[in-house]
Amino acid sequence: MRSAFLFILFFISGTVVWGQMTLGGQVTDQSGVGIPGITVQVKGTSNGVSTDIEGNFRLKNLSKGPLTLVFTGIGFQQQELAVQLEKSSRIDPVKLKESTTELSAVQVVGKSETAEIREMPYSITAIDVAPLKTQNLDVNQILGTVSGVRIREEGGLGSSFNFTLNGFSGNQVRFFIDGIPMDYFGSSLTLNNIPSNLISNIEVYKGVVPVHLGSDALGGAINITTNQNIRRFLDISYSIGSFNTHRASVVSRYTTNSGLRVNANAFFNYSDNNYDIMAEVANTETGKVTEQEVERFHDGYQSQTVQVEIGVTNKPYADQLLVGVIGSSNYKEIQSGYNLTKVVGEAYTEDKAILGTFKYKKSDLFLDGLTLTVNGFTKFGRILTVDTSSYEYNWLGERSRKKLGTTSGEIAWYKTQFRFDDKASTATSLLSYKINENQSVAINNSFSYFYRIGSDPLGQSDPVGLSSVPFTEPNTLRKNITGLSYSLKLLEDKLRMVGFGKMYYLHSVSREEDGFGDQQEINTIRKESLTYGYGVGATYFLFEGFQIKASYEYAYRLPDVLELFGNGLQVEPNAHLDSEHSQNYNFGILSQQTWGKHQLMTEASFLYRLPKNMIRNYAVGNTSNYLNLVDTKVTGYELNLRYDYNRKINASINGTYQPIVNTQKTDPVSGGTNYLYLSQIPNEPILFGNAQAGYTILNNTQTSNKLFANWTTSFVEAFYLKWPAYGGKSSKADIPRQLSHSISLSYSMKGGKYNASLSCTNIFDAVLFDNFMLQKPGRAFSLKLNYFLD
Amino acid sequence: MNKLNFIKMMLLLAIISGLSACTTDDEVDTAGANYVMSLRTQNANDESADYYITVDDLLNGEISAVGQGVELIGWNYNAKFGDTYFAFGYDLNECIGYKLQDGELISQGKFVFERIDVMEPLDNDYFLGIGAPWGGGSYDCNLQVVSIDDIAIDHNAEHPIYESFHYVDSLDQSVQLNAWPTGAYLDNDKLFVSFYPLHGTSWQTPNTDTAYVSVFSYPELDYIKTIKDDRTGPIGYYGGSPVILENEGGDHFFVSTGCKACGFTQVTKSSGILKVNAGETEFDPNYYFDVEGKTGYKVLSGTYVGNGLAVARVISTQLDDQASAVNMWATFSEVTPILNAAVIDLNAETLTIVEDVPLHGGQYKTPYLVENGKVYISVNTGTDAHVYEVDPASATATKGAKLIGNQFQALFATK
Repeated sequence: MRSAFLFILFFISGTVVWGQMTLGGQVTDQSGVGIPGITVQVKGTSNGVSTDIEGNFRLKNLSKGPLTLVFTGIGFQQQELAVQLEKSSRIDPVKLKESTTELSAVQVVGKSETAEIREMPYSITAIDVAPLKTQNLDVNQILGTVSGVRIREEGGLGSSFNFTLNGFSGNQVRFFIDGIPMDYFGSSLTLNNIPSNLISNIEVYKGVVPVHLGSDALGGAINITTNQNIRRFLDISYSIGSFNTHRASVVSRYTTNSGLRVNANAFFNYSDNNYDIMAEVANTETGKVTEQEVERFHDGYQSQTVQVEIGVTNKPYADQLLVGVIGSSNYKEIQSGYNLTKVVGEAYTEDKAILGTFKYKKSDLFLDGLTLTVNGFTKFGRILTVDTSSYEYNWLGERSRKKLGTTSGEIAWYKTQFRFDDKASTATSLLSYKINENQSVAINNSFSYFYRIGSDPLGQSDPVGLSSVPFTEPNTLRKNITGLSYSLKLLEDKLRMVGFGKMYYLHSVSREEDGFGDQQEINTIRKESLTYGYGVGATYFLFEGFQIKASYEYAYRLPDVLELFGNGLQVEPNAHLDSEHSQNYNFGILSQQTWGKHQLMTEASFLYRLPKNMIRNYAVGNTSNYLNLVDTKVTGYELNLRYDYNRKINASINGTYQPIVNTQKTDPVSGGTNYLYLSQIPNEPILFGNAQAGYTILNNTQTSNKLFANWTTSFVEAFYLKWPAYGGKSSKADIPRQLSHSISLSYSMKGGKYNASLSCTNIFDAVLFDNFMLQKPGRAFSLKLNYFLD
Repeated sequence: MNKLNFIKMMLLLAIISGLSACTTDDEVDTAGANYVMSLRTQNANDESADYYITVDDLLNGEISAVGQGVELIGWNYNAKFGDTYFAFGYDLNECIGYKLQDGELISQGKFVFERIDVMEPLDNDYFLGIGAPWGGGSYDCNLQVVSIDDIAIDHNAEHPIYESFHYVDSLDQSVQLNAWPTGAYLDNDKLFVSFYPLHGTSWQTPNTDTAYVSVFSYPELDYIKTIKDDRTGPIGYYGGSPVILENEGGDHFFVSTGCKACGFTQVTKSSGILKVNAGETEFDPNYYFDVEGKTGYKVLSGTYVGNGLAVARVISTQLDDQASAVNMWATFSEVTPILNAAVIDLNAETLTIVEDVPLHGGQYKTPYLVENGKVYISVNTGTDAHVYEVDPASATATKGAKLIGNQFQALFATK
């Protein structure tokens, strides 16, 4: 009864009291350098935000009149500031004094944005990218340090990678940039192309994926948030590294006082990836193999992206309205098949895409607390795969003309110059309504349409690229996903809950070839499905700095373009794929303790998943396709510890143990007994972890120059390529234990205006593998120079 | 891969062999390993691997690769030459040789090849590996003489094993056909290679009314001639099990399958058996066993046991018609039970179905094991697989050990 009364009360008060004003500003230290992670709160309310990397903040939903801002943050003295608010405005920089006395244990610790995300009822890891910015890291390297995450790279810059999160991999985990799904961006714009300079936050959702990221994810999602708060800046960076690796980026924004905004970004990446590996070199006469160190010779990569966005901010009709264009292309040479025994010397892929983008956001639309976000893009892409060599290569780069399979390419069974032309459109709309301080609802719809047609100039005459034939007619894929969620805070904000439902619709038209030779015909296969998922999550703050979380989700993931249609080369199509689904249970505890200048964060989680009908890639020789094959059970344990001393020393360690077993009782092909029931799934890492330590060597508050050193260690226990139960241990193919160390030294001048970072990855030159026989680069150096102006 | 483990294992072996050196002579100790089996644990298109394991007893209990055996990456063909067990990786295009030492199979080395589609013995030092022209565009076979000891290609020769076939397809285009090798044997200084005409890209078989065998000189590998017989169709088929049978007197029998579900787009002659007598280079005009005409069964492959008796895999004309309507490669599916085991009397020209062996699925290039007058075959009824011991004298069979897997790809006696 009481809560119902509160509900009504809040509902009324929520609509009456809330205003529409905003207040911005910057928090700096005594020398005027912005401080990130300072909590700015309106006294007497829970309305608060934390400052971004440059110390900027913006409070919303303020009402006219006097108010008091409270600034709190670790290492600084708490400060209050009285403001008389007449209209949306920006206050003068607030200078905080560093705390010289020890902080008392009960003092409220400034919550950064990442801390706020951690406090949500989802199982989530939030990575604050700010401290990582000056280091020369790409997104994968940052994500690779998160517990439960393994990124399995096939080689150097631009190489394919497989992202695994708690036993889910590939597209079972969805990626977003500012809430926009990355699925259709294509290979020109992948995680590794996003410079860390642009990123303010990375959220890793494990299991339950919130409705506002409207998509079908089976095992989690990654949302990368780019910085929207800074009004004007220019960020130029260039890095040079081993294996002739060059990376350059220009990221800029200009906002006029009248609210006109232009974003212009350009990225360039290049690498020869000519690192040394141990390989089996075959004698061209006798076939005899000898193991020797060779240099990769056909693994170059180049990508470039230009992005321009124009629009307005802080207008009555829009907080932000931007339209933009992205042009990108990449070129990638192929060095080997699925493992190192197949050497490739000529095949390559090329990818070009042009995208039109649209972003709109408006808070307090028609009603206070009603926010509409619409993101959309449309893409025209072209993917070219060229595999026409008549030669066989060995690891020394020696070649001999093929005698038997002269119609075969190096990887493809039949030579190909296959070209896909793709059209893709996506629109995601999120309407959220904050009923009152304690309740909110959100509805999200995500619609996508994908159209692919392909052609192979070599397919005009004999020989015909077999897998290309189905693309002479268009293949289309339409998805529509709608989610509805309700969030509730109770017990003076100690208990937070969320419940949601999702509806997944899929419609695909794909083509499959049937018959042989001149009897060949193309069958059209239409597939339509409508499925429902749901979930709940809750978190409870037992006491200050100690939180427990639990969530459950029944989730679906619809097959995607690559899985259904293949890639015309190594990946063959499967028009009959069904959605995969899973029940995900998560339980976690999170504690944050502060003793004086010491801060310790502990995160422990347990997860239990029952994925069914899992879509898996099965390699047969040098090609593979996706099949619905296994039911599995994932039991995962994660521990994450992070220690920080006075913002000078930090260290963290995390570990993940996640056995995944086959729960299929009958053989999926024969229907007979499955002898592998309850066997550990092969080719999946089971035990892995990371450790990291950072030390601020120099912090000159006069000149705002900082010198920072960082050490990271990554560990993955060995795992078997094939079913672990079978075969004598000594003969089994495995992906050996990986232990690698990296070190970096970063120097930042004038409060981050000039940055230089020197890093060395794999400092002991260990022989590392993420995938069977695909050796990763050895010791590599890179130097990154960065100039930031605002 | 796994270099460290390998080194450890070699060290361990060195210690063990050092300890045992004083006790025995040089004879290979095969105690506890009567057989070497290549066990395929799952169907070929998944995370399966083949495992070379040692087996003591074929007739009782279960045979599994759990915790034992040598893992062979991907899909393999297998053969035993001398005392070396070879695995021909179909996916990796590499051939590894193993020897049995102290009951364990130890790798002796490997070589890389472009294709090996037929592997047959030549003499004590060499075996023959024939690479077939795949996919159209090339029409020569690669006859590779491989050293058993070196585990390396000694020399090779390229041949169009038959002067090229041409045929006019439905689009009125003249198309060249491949000659796809299906079996081979050496008779003194003559190398016999059976083959069938096949359209490289479409896998069509427009030419099915003649049996062909080409004859080469050995060791020169020079082409001598091609012998033909139009009493039946082509000998053997792509990926098929043995189709050339040798009797006590050195005569050779050739099986023409006439089976549509073996990958033929048409069949124009009935399944039958031809003969080439020892020392001759022509088909025996007086011998032709019209198996299908006389018995209603088509022979896919077989092995000679003795006294004119052979054990064979056969399919009834009726099941062939039904299965090929669905899948022209149906006889390769281990989980489609359409095949029978049969005893063929090559002299009396009779065929007896071995009723003790249930209908079962097919295999790719699996050799037969003949031991003490019995033949051992892998029988997958669609849901599970067992070893069967076939007694040709009585045309009976005994259900043997259960396979924890879907078939054995090969089985060899160690002695």
